Amino acid sequence: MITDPPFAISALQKLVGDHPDKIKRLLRIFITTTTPLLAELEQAVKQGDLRQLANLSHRLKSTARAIGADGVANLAITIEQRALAHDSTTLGEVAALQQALQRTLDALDGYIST
Amino acid sequence: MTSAAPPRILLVDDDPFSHELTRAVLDPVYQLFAVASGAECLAALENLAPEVILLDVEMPEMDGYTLCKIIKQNPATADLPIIFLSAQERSLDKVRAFDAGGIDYITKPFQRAELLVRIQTHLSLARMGKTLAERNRELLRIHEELEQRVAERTHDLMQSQQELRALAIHLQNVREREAAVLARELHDELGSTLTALKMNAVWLCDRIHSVAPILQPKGSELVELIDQTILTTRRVISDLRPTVLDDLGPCAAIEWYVNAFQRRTGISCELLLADCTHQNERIPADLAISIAIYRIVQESLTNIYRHAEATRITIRCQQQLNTLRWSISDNGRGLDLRAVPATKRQGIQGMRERVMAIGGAFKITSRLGKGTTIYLTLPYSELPEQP
Repeated sequence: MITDPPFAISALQKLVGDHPDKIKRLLRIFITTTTPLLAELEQAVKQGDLRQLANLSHRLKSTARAIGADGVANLAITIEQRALAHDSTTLGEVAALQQALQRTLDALDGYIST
Repeated sequence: MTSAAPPRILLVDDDPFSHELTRAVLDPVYQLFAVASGAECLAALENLAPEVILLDVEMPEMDGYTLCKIIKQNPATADLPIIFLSAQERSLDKVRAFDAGGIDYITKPFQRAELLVRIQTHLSLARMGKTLAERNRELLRIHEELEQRVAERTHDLMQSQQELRALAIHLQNVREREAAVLARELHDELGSTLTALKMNAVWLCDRIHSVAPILQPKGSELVELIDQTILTTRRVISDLRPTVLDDLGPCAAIEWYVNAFQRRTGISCELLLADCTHQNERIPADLAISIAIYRIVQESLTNIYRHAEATRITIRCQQQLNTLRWSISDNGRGLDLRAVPATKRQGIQGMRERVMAIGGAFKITSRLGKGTTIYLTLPYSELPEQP
């Protein structure tokens, strides 16, 4: 069960200051650049491509942390480490990552539209 | 009022979100340019001329380490500070980044304040390094300029010295020529007149003896005075230019001079001229060399007589390869060469100049109470052996 908040505005505020427009713009870019990763993660699992899985998780972990999506970031870190260690059981953990990412993207959509 | 443009920072990262996030963080302190690959970075470097590069590690085609090495290998960009920005936290990754030439390593996600202060630090260091390098280049230029000027001045000084030496040689030659002319005229004119005077005086004395014997002592005194005048004239002629020097060379002339010196002063002189005394054909042919040797011996002996309080003098000449090595030693009171008064230094300097003028070397050694030695090393061209 996911208990971490889907994202935290305070994380971005720490980085760029209290500038709502700037923050929303960044979040839009996050949505645009991260959404394709859902399908790419799916593809990597289907192909059992641990290397690609490590790359995708690597990209996700720092960007997710930047917007305070710690749940996504933590899952990405775990999957990246296991994929790099050629542990194929981590393929089964990707669904949870996708779910957490989707949750974050949905929450961001809701935030931006306000 | 306009302020200076913010420093230019180049971010190399394949993630567009990182571009925007970093730009938002750095704005407006820095002006950020972002590219997505190593190839784009290399293509943009020359035009963008950034002061700092922020470099991601994980990128397709060319990773950050490889790109960093390429930038560092290019002399035009080698001094550009490169800060790695990476989500990798392992020590191994950091070590690789520094090995590749990175100046710093910041883990993503970064803290705003940390990123700003690190960029500022490396920017300041790079600017100071640049200023230092420019000053070093300027110092080097000034140093080279000074060296050049010193070389020019040294050359000018050497030239002046050569000209002065040439002038001194010329003056000596003129003096020698005039002395020779004067000696000849004294010999021819005054000498013959004195001889005639003496002949007439002797004739008169003979006549006076029978006519007026009372005048006989005056007549004898007159002849004696004329004899003394003849001797004085001969000595003056010899001092001006001994004919033996021209006829027999320096060794014979020195031998003649030294014998006269011994008789006059009572100072015992030893002559060791085995290498040239009996072989006139080996005497340096150049008259200038002969005159120089003779004059230096003459001046040395005069100095010894006047100042050294010596009882014994040794004059030696040895042939060594293509040189003649002369030495003039005395057992006198010696002198402290560092405290020689200017008037005496001029005498020593004059001898030195004479020797240098004929391409030789001059040296003087002395110790208080232990006598003085003058060394002359002169060029000597051996004549072909006679069959």
